[in-house]
Amino acid sequence: MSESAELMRMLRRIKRRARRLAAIEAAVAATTLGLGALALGVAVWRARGGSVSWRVAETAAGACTLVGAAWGATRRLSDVRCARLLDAAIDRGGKTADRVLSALSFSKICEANDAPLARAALADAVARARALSPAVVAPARRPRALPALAGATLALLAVGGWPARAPGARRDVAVPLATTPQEPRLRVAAEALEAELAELAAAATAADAAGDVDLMALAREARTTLDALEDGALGRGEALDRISALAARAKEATDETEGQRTALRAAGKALESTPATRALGRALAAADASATEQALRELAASAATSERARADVASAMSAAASGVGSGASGEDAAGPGEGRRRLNREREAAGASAGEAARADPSARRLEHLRRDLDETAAACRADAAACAKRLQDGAGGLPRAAREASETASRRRLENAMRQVRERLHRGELDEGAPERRFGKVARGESRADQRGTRAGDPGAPEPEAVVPDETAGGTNGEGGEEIFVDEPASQEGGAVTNAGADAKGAAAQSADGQSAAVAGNGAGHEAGGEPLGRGSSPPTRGHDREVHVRDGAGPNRSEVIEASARRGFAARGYVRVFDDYQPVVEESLATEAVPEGRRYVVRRYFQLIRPRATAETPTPGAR
Amino acid sequence: MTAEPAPALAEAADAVARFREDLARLSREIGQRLVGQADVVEGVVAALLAGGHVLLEGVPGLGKTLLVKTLAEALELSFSRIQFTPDLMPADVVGTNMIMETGGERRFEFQRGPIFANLILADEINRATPKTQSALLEAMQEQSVTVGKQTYALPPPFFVLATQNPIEMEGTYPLPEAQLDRFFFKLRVDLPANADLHAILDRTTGATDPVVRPVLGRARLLELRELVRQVPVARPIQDYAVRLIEATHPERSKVPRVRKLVRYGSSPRGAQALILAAKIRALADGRFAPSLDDVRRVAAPALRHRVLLNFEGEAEGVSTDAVLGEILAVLPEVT
Repeated sequence: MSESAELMRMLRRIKRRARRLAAIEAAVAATTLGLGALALGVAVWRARGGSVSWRVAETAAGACTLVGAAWGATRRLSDVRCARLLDAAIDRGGKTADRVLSALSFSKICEANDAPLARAALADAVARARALSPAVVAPARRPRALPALAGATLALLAVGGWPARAPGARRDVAVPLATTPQEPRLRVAAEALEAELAELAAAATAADAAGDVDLMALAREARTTLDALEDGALGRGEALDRISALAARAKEATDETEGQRTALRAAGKALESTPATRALGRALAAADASATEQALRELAASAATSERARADVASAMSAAASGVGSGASGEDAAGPGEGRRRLNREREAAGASAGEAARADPSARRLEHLRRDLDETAAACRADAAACAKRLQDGAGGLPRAAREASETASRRRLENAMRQVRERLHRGELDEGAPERRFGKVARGESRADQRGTRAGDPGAPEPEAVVPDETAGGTNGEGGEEIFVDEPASQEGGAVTNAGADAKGAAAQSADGQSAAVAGNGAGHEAGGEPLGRGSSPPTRGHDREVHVRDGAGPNRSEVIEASARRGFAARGYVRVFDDYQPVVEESLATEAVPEGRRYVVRRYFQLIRPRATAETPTPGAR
Repeated sequence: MTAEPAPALAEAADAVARFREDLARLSREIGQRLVGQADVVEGVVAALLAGGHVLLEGVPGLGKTLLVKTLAEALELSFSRIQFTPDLMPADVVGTNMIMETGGERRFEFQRGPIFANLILADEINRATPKTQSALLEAMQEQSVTVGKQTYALPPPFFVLATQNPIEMEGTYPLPEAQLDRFFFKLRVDLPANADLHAILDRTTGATDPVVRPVLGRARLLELRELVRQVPVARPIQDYAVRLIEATHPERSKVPRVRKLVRYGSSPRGAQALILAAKIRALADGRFAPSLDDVRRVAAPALRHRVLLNFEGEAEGVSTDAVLGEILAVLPEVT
């Protein structure tokens, strides 16, 4: 065999050996990469709650190994590289003389040229390489990726939960879905929701009287939810969800009738402009169903006998129809002609979509019915007397029904407000057990009346077992024991005699019988009146009985005296009911017309709820359960 | 390929072995007088065997003249020393036609200058004017001199060893790049090591003067030169040398420092020097072909005067050796 052939044979042997080593190296590297990626994937998958099949993992790792080995074994390995491996082995430990590399190059030229030195170089290289085995030239070594492979394997086992598996148990490792911890139940004292329950009861009574099925159902559902709250059957989150949903439904119901009421007001205003229909207009504007029926009967009678009255009714009805249109679009009642033209324009412009919207929106549908009723009534009155009288006699389509429905707006709004208020109180934590605001409620109801006797603002020597040392930054100076809603007035505000009570209560607590300066937990409400917001009155001593106080300027107590006296007795005086009833509509109106900022509405409403008249022996509260 | 007749291979192996032996004897003989400077001696001998010339750079007193003189004695070659000065004329180097009277007849006769010797020491070549430098450099390239209309061949082997002082640059005429390129090697002569200095003092301050015996004749030297030319070079090795030359050119190089600091790269003469010097190194090592390491080892002396730095490189004080070192560090051995 020539040196060239022998050299090539040796290089092929080296190449085979090198390919095997490269296959092992690549297999380890590919397996490492595969296991690393698998560990990452398993971690992500398990984080999402998925389960991992070890069989799949093993298959994937095996596939990576095979692919890596195949890639390493089939990778191009040049003769030059093998020659350098041989050279490195020949000159092991020293500088490489590149004998085999040169010989490989000379093996091609030696065939054609007479180059003695080249042949000598070839022979020399072959002779030196002959003594080396492939194992020496390409020695087996530990794959470089082996430590990484171990790391990737450990990572996979860690994320796959290897230790959790039973030995030899080849089964899917299922990761249980994370369960949310049971939410603590919220137990609300029965008296805490007294005001809201009273509102619900009032709304239910009104709905029953008016035959408002929707409102009744809503009130029933709200009552069930509040009962569940009292029974401790709901968690805070669930309660908030349910109350919020009820509030949203109540608002939707309110908006539905609110639009109708606005339209009726507009129609009533238009009808009031004609003397013949003035009574009907007033009845509609007031949403008084019975008055509406009565006015329609009277109109029918006059229209049957008087041509002029019939014409007036037709004209007024037509104008009212326009008023309904403008009322529906949220405008003030404009001229009847203008409103009608506008309505027609809008209807034409909207085309079919307006009809679809009307069908989809119950409020719009009702308004459309009302407008149509008025239009048809006007047409009937223009046609002949008999038809006009019959139409009016039959209620002009559905005007009494519309008035009845519109009259339900207030009831719906009461229910909506009640739901919103419960939600707000839940948010504020007022319904949590031990909330000081509830203690104030007890006092307000007169249940702590015994504590009040003999105590008054500024009595330092009076025993004060339940006096509270209020947090001065949280409204503890206002006499209500830290209830947030009463903190609006700064403690230093002029005329804030309210603060005295709390301060005195604090003083009383500090000078309690044993002389200890430590604060004693009180009921948080204080004992005395909330000061003199309207000026200092006569401060009549009350002992749980109504007493008429004679003052200089009048025959009876003035308003401030009534309020003060009632506050001392838990707002349970009969005279206070009358005073409160004067204020209550104004409060609600102010709240509804956004005269009070949104952020303060709850405070105002809650304040008036807290000072609302309580049940007395003589006058049971309508909303009492 | 069939089995090579043993005599031919044996003859080749014997030739290489004798080359190695002769070179070793020459080095030993030079070492009788010259202490240390092994790299310089090796470079000078390599340039002599390759048929090139050497530019020695070093301060005075480092044994440059002694080296050439010793080399001449060891090789039984004629030796001339020319001290280059600013007033040295070309005729002072190459010779001139003089009127000679013989038997009442006057005629011009060419009086050979000191350049007509086998070994020339052109001392402080940068002190002569460019005109005189050119006269020498023409002789170096053409191996002949022309005076008047007559061309005179220089006796082979013709070997010039030029020196220049890197310190005293005032009043000097630095060699142009084209003339620098004609030197096979540029060698730096550094201060000998401590032990070498002791040996120098021992040898030069004593009563005896080391005697250098001739170890190689002129004919043998020319044979060795012929053998060097016969050494084959593998294509990967030659490719490495070519890529090395290309890498010195800023427009072709992938080395950032070369692109930044180098103005001109090496000429093809640089590649020739690399291969020839690598061949000599291989033969000196008893090998039949040069290796990549041989090319690497001779890269600095063969290319340092052929790679020209730009202003930025000069301003930064970068040496061409450093640039070449960076190239060698990143250049792939085999593609």
